[in-house]
Order: sequence, then C-alpha cells, then structure tokens
Amino acid sequence: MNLLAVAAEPGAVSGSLSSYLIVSAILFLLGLATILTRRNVLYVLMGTELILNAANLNFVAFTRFGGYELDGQMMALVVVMLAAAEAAVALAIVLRIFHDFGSIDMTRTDSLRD
Amino acid sequence: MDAEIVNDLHALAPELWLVATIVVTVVADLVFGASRRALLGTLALAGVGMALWTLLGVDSGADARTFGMLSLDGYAGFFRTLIIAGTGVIILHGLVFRGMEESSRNEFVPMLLGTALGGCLLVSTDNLVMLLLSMELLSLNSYLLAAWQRKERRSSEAALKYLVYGAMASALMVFGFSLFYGLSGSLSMPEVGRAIAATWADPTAGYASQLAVVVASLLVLAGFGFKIAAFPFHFWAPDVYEGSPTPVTTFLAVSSKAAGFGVLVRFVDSVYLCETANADWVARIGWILAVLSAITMTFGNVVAVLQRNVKRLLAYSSIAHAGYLLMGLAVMTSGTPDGARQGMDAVMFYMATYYLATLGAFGCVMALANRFGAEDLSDYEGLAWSAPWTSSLLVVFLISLTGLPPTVGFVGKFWLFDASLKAGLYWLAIVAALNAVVALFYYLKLARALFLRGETTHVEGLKGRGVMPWLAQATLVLLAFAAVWYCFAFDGLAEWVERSLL
Repeated sequence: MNLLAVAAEPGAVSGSLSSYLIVSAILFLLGLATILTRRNVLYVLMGTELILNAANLNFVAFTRFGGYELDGQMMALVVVMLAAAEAAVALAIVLRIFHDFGSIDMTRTDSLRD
Repeated sequence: MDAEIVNDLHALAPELWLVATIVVTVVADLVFGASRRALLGTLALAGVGMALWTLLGVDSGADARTFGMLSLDGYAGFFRTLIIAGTGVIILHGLVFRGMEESSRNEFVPMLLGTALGGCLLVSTDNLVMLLLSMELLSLNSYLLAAWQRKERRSSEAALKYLVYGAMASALMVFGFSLFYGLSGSLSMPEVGRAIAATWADPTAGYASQLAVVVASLLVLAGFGFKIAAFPFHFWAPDVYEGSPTPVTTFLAVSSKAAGFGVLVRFVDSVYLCETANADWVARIGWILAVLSAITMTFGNVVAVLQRNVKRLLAYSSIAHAGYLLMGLAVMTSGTPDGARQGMDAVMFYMATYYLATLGAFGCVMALANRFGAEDLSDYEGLAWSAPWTSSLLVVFLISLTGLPPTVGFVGKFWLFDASLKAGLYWLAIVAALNAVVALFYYLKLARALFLRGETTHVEGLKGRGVMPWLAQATLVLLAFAAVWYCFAFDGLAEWVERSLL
C-alpha cells in the first residue's frame, strides 16, 4: 500500500494524514522563505529549525497513520536533540561574529570574497 | 558477555580507540596544560596509530553488521583507513601550524579526532538515523574547527558561512528523509530503495508518490552535495577554505570530502541501485548526476584560473575534483550492466589518488606559510630558491592533481575516463578532458610562480616557532613518494579497491 497515494485521495481511511502533511509542507516553505529572505543570522537559523520541525511532524504523522514501527518517532527525538546541539554551536559562533564584526547581519561579514 | 556483542565491539575497535584517544587527550590537556604540546601530540598519534592498526588487523572480507545500524564491510574499511590515516597527518600539521594560539592548540586535537569518529561512522552506516547522527558529529566539529584561529576575523567568518550553509543542507536532508520514511516505513537504506523501486514500477501509485520520491531525492542529494562541495551547493567552500586555519582546510578538502563521497556512493548503491531497481528511474538519477558532474568540474576549474590566494585556488580545484568524482557516480547509475561496479571502482581509486595529492599539497602550502607567511600567488614568486625541497614536493602533488604521469593522479584520471567511455558517457569524458587542460593551466601557473618568477635570491624566513619538525616533513616526502610510486605500482592500490567494493 502506498501511503502518500492514500493520503491524496479525499475521504480515505487515513485522510487526516494529509492535513498533517499540509501543515508540514507549509512549515517547510515558511522555513525556506525565512532562510532565503532574511539576512540576520539568527533568523536564518530559525528558518532551519522550522524545516527540521516540519520533518519531525512528518516522521511522527507517518508513524502514527502508517502503522509503522516506532523508528519515525525515534528519529523525531534524535532530530530534536541534534537541533539543540546545533543551536549551541551556532550561538557560540554567532557571538564570535558579533564580537569581530559588531553585527550579525550576513551582508556585513564579507571580508572573504572573490 | 554475549559473544555477539564481543564480535560487534571487536569490529568497532578502531572507533573505540578514537573515543579513548579523545578522552585521554582532553584529560591530558587539563592535567598538563598548554605547555606539553609534544606529549599531547604523541598520545594522539599513538591513539590514531592503534586505531589504524586494529582497522587493518580486522578481516575486511567479513561483512560485519554491528548493532543493526553499521555495516563494517571492506568498503567501510577502505574509507575508514583513508580518514584515520589522514587525521594522523592533519594532527601533525595542527601541532606545528603557526597561526594557532598555544592555548587552543591542544583542544584542536580532540576536536579533530571527533570529526574522524564521525567520518568513520558515516561511511559505515546504512541506516538514516545513524547517517544523520554521524554526519552531524562530523559537521558540528567542523564548524567549530573553522573558527579555531581566535584572533582572525576571517576565521570566524568562515565558521559562520560554513554553519549557515551546513545547517540549511542538513535540514533539507532531514526533510527528504522524512518523505523517504513515509514511502517505505523504514529508515534502513535498502528498505527505502525497495520502496522507491516499487513506487516507480507500480502504475497505480499515482503522481503524488512519484513526485514525493523526486522531491525527497533532490533534498537528500542537496545534503550530500553540500558535504562534497558539488555545484549548486558549493558556495561555502572557497570562503571557508580560505578563512579556516590551514590544517582545518586540509581536513575539509580531504577527510570531510572522503566521508561525504563514502556515504554518497553507499547511498546511491543501496537506495537507487537495489536489485529491483527500475531502469527508467535509475536513468533519471544518472542523468542528474552526470549533469551535476559536468557543471561542477567546469565551474571549479574555470573559476580557479582567476584566483590569487593559493588556498582559495586549491578550494576551487577541490570543487573541480568533486566533479570528477561525481563522474564515477554517473557511471554507476548509467544503466550499463557492469556500470555500478566500474563506477564505484573508479570513484574509490580516484578518491585514493586525490587524497594523497591534496593532503600533500595543503601540507606544503602550510609549510610555506609557516616559514615565509606566504599565502598569495604573488608571495610565492621565486620561493623555490629559498625552499627548494618544499616547492619541489608541492609541484609533484600539483602534477598528480592535474593528472599527468609520472604520478598516481594520471592513473586515477585514466581509470575514470575509461569507466565513463565504457558506460557510453562520451560527452562527459570529453568535458572532463577539456577540463583537465584548464586545470593544467592554473596548476602550472602556481608551479611557474614558485620556480620561474621573481628574483632568484633567497627570501628571509620568519623566525621562531612554526618550523616544520622532521616528522611532519617526513610525511610530506612519504606522500610525494607514494604519489609517484603508485603510478607504476598501481596494481596494489587497484587490488585493495577491488577487494573493498560494495
């Protein structure tokens, strides 16, 4: 059985999966738009967090509606943990950038270029 | 203890040695402080040596599956050997690099060992959870290593750029994984491959599922493309290579790229080329990889011609080499009966040749920077008269990167061209051959600056610490010797690659 095909049909048994997928797709697009339009480092990092959370929503929804084993939920927990680790490293680097450049605007940090 | 667990741990011995070395070096740094650089280096190199020794001692013919997530086969052994050996050389470089403060030098060693651990796990795994975890272990350490020169603005800028692109790429990749999981209900790569093949073969599967497969594949390829610095995801590479401390640049060009290709080849092999794979779908992936390969190598080579900074020049050259290596992946997915094997063979052989030459070239660049503070092409003019040995070694590595005899790079290129001609990718072979000509131009420009330009007088070297000790110099000589030796005795290398195929 193909889950996405089922989700695409209106009124299917697991029809509510599609609403999760729609929310997750919206989150993904919001995250992508944030990354592409914002020049502030913190906003860009928040954009990546939105994408990670969109993926997490997918994992959990697929596990719940697909009747799969708990791999997906485990993956969601791992991703949450990784996001926290990444944020710790990112904030350390952003502090350094603020110290060195006096700004966390990515258009200001351009001493390296062709 | 359970015999199975003992076996699993035995197969994991190299990684356990790396972990032990990380702990020991952190503790030794705390106890002895910054003054005992030699002791710390000795401990780290001993640990890396033990990891390498246990790795070569483990029977690589055995297909050891460990803890259900790692597949420590001969293929993993090949890349683990490259990564661990490379890490040993880079630790040596890190211990003598002039641009690093004494206080942060000792912490550099465990960080680098952490990346080696991540890389080793990354090339061994066939599970998406483990893939993500080990890739992040590699990446998070790399972001921090890029910022390791505390007093350099450009070092923190490099870290920022690497971090932002890296976080974006891994987020896209995780989203791709979530779609794969939805299609297959599993996070194991072979299972995902079978589900994709079934989706593509099933006429009732519908448009939505096929679209999901395509979108997920593109997102995941974006993640891998970032790690290997392939065309549309290469933006970070020149800035980060230039801004990072030189040993870290070496690590990014060598270990990180080897780990990226190691996991990418396994991913393509088990997800897209499973036994039930659909020819139509494989052809599409093959087409994407071939086009990416052609664009990546052309872009890298053409832009490298314009560079003035040597590290930046080598960064673009490393992008170009990612293009050549992708050629092997295009052969794998070309759909010819023996293509998968030949393509993988060519990628792995070329990776070994690229590894030798790049490790050596960056080592020489660092040696020259240590002695003369030289990093721009204009600083290099006439440097051969003051540093004849290092300059000559650098030229050997550059010849190998160009792919000319009598160096192993020639054999690697030959192998790759041969594989792509056999797979019927004539246009790609022609593009690659034209690219080799462009590459010759800028590599020779560097060699000409060293030997034929500037005054034929000696340049006064910098005083004080930072002169390469004999061990680091010996590794450069050894690498150059290997680069020449394997041109004639490539059988041994080829046989090792042959034994390590998936």
